[in-house]
Amino acid sequence: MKNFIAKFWAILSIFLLLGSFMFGQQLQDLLMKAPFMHIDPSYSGGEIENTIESECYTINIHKKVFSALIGEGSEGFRQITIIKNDSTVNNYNIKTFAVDSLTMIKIVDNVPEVRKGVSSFTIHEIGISDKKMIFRIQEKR
Amino acid sequence: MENRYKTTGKIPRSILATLPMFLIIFIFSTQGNIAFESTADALAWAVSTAFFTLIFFLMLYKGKTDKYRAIAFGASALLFVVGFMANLIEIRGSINYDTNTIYNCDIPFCHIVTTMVIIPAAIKQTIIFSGNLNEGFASIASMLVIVIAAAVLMGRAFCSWGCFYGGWDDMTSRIGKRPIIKKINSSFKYFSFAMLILMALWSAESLVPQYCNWLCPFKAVTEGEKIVDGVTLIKNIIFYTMFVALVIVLPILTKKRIQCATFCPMGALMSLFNKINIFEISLDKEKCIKCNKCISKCQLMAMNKDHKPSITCAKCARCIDNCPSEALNYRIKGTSAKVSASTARVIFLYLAYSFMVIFLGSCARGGLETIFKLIF
Repeated sequence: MKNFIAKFWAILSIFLLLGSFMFGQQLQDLLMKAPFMHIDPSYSGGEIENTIESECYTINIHKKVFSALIGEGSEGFRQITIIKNDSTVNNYNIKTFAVDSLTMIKIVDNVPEVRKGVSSFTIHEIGISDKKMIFRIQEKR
Repeated sequence: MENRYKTTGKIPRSILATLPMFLIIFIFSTQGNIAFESTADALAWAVSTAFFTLIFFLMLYKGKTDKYRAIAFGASALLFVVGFMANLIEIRGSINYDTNTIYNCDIPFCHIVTTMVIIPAAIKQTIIFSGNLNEGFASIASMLVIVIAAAVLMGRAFCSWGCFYGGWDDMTSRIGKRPIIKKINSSFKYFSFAMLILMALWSAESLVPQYCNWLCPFKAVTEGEKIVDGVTLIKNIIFYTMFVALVIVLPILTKKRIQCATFCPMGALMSLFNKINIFEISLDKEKCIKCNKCISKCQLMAMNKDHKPSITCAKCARCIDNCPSEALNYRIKGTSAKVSASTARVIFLYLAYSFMVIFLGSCARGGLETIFKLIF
């Protein structure tokens, strides 16, 4: 009996393996229902809090992210995603827009300048393509 | 002397036993639709189908597992790199990733990342990786399904039959006849478990998959980080140094798969699954002549001093092929001697080789297609 069960399981393994490739998409969809199947906001940029629409651009202002393994970290970021609505526009140039009551952003020739109260600074790490510009502003709790 | 396996030296029996594998290769490579995008695609399909079928036939007919496995495994690893790079260039115009790729969550998910996402997935319920969840090329969900299936059904056999990186040091460790560095403490194999714990904890604490970020040797042959500053320059120097040292130089000098045996956290994770896997390599103590050939030949340093495979065995069958007294054999756990070595071997080969031809076969076909496109 033990022999039979072991041999049966070994042969069944082959069919389970073939099934996992054959029904890969269904298994992926099933896995997607697992509670952990979300990209961490430190990579996805987090939820969108506000959207500003103009003729040339759609500006998505994301919620502040303070990602940590447990609870929230003291340092984080806020992601800004700018999508081109007009493909004829070359460089990203946007007059000042408000992110929140304290933070204003101006973009001149693909370079975002952030003003927080009286101090201003330039963003260094920018993800830029023909369609989209993404950058992150450092935030503290 | 009677042949060890029922198919060895018997052409009709070997052909008959190869037929189901040919069907598996045919069905999964065509997806039930024999239509090709181009001549290069058709040629790549024909060559890869013939190649993988022939290798399986030779395994059965010649009775040697590791020799032919290594050919298919190594070729797949090389062709994977070609196909992967071509795919990246087609999708994003470059093999390098940059801030744009990271912010857009466009990085293909590699199975090794699994070791680093487990703790945050359990505690924080999020995946700490900048990839696509369920869409596009090498999505997180697709790779996790494959990793789970491989772990449960094959255990660490994944490292010798399914990992598209493993073929690299499997190949380089076969260069040259004798090892130049002869004495290596086999306890080094447990360093991979230390790597697993270290990488899992460091990645969880920082929410960054740190092995990929700083240490992965295969960044050198897949997708590297675009050099934009001092930090990315240092990372690239580390990636290339690691590749040259762990995947090329040390395997040639020692004839061991140093990267896989001692450094890869995925290997350590898969080893843990060996405990629940139905297949193992067993030793017939009465037949063993204690020649130590299995210990010296094992590329993963997995053989214990008592000539029994340890938890890190990847079931590559190198010990079986090299055992002069036929004391080592594949075995289905829980079965008595009545279930012959030949039956256990054939069932295991169907399982492991199916994984190889479906998972690595598609990579090999992609690589071949790229090469044929360049030629024609």
